[in-house]
Amino acid sequence: MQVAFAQEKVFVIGTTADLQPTDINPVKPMNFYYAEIVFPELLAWDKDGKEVPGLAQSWTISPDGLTYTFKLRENAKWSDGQPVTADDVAFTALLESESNPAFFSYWNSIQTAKTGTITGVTVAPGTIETPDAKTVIFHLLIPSGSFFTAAGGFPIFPKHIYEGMDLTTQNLDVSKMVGSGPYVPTELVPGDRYVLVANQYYWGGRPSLDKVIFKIFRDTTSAEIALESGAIDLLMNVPGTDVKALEKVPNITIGVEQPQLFAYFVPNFRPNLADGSVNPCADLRVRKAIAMSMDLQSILDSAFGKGYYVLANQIFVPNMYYLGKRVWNDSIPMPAYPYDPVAAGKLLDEAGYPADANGIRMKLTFITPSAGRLGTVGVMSMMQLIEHAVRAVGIDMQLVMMEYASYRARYYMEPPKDWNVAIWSQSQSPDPTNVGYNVNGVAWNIGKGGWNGGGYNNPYATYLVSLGDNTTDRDARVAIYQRIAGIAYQDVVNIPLYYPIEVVAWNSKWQGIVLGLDNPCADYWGAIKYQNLAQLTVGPESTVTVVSGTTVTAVPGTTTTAAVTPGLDYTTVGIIAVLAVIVLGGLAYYSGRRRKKTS
Amino acid sequence: MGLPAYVAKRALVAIALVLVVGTLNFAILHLAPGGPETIFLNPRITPAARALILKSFGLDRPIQEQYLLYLEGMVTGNWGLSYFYTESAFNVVASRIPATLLLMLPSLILTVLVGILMGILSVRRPYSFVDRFLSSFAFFFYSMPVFWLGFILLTFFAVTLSVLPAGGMISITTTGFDVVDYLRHLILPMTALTLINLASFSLLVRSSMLEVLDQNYIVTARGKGLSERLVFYRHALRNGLLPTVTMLGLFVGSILSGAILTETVFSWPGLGSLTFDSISRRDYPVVLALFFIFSILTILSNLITDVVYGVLDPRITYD
Repeated sequence: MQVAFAQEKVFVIGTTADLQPTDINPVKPMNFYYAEIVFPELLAWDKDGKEVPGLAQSWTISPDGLTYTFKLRENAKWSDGQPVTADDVAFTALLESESNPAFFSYWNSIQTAKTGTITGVTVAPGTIETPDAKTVIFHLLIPSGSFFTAAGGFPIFPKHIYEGMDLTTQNLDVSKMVGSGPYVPTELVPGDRYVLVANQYYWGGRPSLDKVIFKIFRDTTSAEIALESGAIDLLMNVPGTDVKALEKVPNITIGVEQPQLFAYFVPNFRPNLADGSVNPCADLRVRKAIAMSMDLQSILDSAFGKGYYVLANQIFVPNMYYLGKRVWNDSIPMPAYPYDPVAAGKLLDEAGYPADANGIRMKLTFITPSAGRLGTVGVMSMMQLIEHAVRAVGIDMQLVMMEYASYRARYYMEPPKDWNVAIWSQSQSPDPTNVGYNVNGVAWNIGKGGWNGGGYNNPYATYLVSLGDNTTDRDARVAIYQRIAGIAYQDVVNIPLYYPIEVVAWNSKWQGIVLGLDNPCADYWGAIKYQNLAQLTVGPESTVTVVSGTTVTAVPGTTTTAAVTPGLDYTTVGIIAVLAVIVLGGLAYYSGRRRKKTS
Repeated sequence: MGLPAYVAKRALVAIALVLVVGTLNFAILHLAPGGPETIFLNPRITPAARALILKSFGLDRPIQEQYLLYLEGMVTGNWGLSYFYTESAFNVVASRIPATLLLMLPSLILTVLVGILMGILSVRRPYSFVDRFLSSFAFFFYSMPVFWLGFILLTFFAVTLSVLPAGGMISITTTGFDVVDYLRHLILPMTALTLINLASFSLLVRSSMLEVLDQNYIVTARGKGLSERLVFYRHALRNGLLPTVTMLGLFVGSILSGAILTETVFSWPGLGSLTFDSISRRDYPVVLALFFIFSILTILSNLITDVVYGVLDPRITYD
């Protein structure tokens, strides 16, 4: 039961993603989703991945791609009434450059070396100009196509609060935090809750809610129970496998959105494994055969359910844009590799892997994590189905599951690796630059922390990735990345599996919920954006929900279109059955004893 | 050997034990694949940035130096800063202790009281319907997975009947600490923990009492004409409850490690969930602080149990 506040409008969001103070500490690996509610970025992104004004109301990019000018909103203020100024933007860039090992590289294009800072760099003189209080100009030292997203998508922090603080060894007390977003924090209890209250100075107008609370759950089932009981209003990260059960609950609305997530297999490209044995995946024919042995659509339908994934065919998500132009390579077929086990078998024969008497051609080690985004029930089901599928073409898949940190260490381990195929996923940003690192074979990236865990090393692809980084002309840049996608497809750099669909469930009384894309620099997905949080209202009960693409509109006053079939409450039936067995069993035993006594 | 000498001897052994356990914890943790930096890796990471992250964690130091700092932490209580909380590991752990105590202590008290009562009722009429029913009842819940029981309780009482909260320690929208609110939230997790752990106490009391009731001095007491009530409660019960003290000591030792599954199901922000998260994230300072506290508690509770046992039973000598 929820404690009702007659005067306050409180919106409680349930999540199974943990939250700790470092998530909103500017010199730590922040969680941008939580950070941007308090510290919005210069830019925002609409549901289609296109840039829209955030803290900045307008921007220009010079033709040579070296000058980025952002004009801040005139009415942008911090929650203590101080105006948000260009100095705050400059301060943020300097703070991140000098003090944040996780994010300093986002500002590469305006940095120079400096000893004495935590990162060894600082913002180069003259690269940030603040001609007036509301204008900030970045002068890049080298062209960078990704700078727009990196700088535009970074939370902006108040200089007058954070300047001079040693944030490396302490967190600012949340009750003292000052933000420019619709809500500012008042309480953060790690592992339990994150409480924010309305910011009367928010530039988007007085937020509709008085309070937003993030309630952290350790387990999805507990969170779903809390949603059903009304203790929370919205639940993020609902597993697709739980949707059917939630659909039967009255007054619960299910919404879906497609974040910029991509899940795929990463083949190991090295000729030998750690034990010296030959790695079959180094052969293009073997990689293709693995891809062609899976009827992915059927597998994913079984694992996730129809409508709860999008079949993937390339390294870029379908909703990736650069300055409004879609990066998607239309020439790559869908599915990328046709399901053809006969052809797959022929490829393996050609590659020198004939089937033995048991029909087995090779053993391959697939590694997968037991937690995280890829540790879900749906992914486990998918892996088991794929195990059967590849076995049909003679591949004996040894599935090795391990806990998350061990898995990441195994994936990133120094070569040679001890696995043939790994499953991986990435949260892509609206800028294609990060994706390129998957195919970037530069020496420092292979197996040393970059995402190129498979060790693909193609000098041409590497050249294209660098070129893409330094190109700012929109059409030229998009063409470069489409070429990279094509190369990745031809070389089977990875085997695309699916683009996840994020499921969110909420109490139907809430109106105006629009699910948005994740922040470009964040590793977080599927959430209700801060702009939307500022506009939620409560409508009459029994509202209709019309699901249209990624927008859900609640229409009050009409009958529901979603059939809610009253069914047996199996929990109650189960409890009654158990009690009946105990009582009847006890009676039977007792009467048996009495009969014995009398006889 | 007198009690003070015994305690001193055990204390010295305890110190050595803590050092051995602490060293093992340190070794196992650092031998586990993956480190905290793997959680922070991103596509833009360069070797230089990765090195910086490791340096910020103090993991660029030689392992021997890290070990010595850890030993120093055992004495000073300073295990360094949590990688994920940017607070001292001690503070991170300490902040979760009240939540765990607020769950585990009432659960333990209820478990002991109900368990002993059930044991007494069983042994008053051994092998009767009541005895068999209570034993079956205890075993039934003992064999049940705690997370499943937790979900059943939550679904039935929080959703179907809507009479109790659906998890958490206090209401989500409550500010401050409300005792009544906390007690309402305590009912379901305490019930789950008590039901699961009842069997240990009730069956122990039952078997111990049955053994005591067969002793010669009990036969003598009955022969002297004492009432059954007097014989049972005055002469037999005290001896029959002695093994419970041992069991209690073992339970207290594990009390702060928290019920990870219970905390997970009921979203209780205690030490159990912190332990799991910290290990998953390789938050070394917090994990090492937690392991140290758990080992101290276990060793201390065993020492206290042995001492109390000796006080309760004059037949026990210390050596």
